[in-house]
Amino acid sequence: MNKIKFALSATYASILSIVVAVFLTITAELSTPFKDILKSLSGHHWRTKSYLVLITFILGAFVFLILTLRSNPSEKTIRLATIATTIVALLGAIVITGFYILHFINI
Amino acid sequence: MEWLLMNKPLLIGLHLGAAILGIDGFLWLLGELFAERVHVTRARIAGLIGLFGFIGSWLLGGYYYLNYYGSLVKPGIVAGTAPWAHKIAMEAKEHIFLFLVPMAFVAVAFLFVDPIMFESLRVKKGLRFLTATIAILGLVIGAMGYIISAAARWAV
Repeated sequence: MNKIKFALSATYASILSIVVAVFLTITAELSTPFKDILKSLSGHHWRTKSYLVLITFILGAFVFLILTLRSNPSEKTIRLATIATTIVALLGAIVITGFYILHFINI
Repeated sequence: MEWLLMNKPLLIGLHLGAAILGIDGFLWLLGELFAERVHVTRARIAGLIGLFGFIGSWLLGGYYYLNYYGSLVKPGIVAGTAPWAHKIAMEAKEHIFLFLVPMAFVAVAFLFVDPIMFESLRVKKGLRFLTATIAILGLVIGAMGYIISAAARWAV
């Protein structure tokens, strides 16, 4: 049962890390000071984003695991979590691509 | 190791090769997940190949991007006839890629659940969507890589 709880925690953490990736990407494009902060942390904004996404995923999985260990997730919760990860990832990809298209054509 | 990191064509080739391994691993896993009763060992091997393929691609591509792309490739594309190849394709590619490793890890984590519980929980359908999405995003990112490569060669 703990392995399924670990997998579920990783699922929640992946959703969180995708949201963080989208937020960092768009905010850094719209705010030069924010992008400069990202650059100053590791030497390159993309390296910092990579680290932050990984840290969010690892720490998120750990925190969600602690929370999940105290509960008894249903079969429906587990199934919905995997589908939610897929939907969030697809939306994230659409949002990022759409943002850069609009940014390029100056809309 | 230094020889590899200095060898730009080899580095980009290995980045692509690792990504193909990642995509193929998850396409294989997708096939396994359509079985009535999943062959756990094979599914785990497929998932691990996919996960480590994407991790390798991230490290190799990341090194190339941070050390060579910005100074050697990007200026030519941006000043050329297809600046959108960098401003849309590359920007989207480098950021959507950040989703792949966490998603791949999730898919693999479910494969290490007790097989009886795995079947009884009926998570296969959700896992199929997730696995297919990982492979599709990998292929889309690969297509973006082709656009960037073509722009660097022919649109400068």
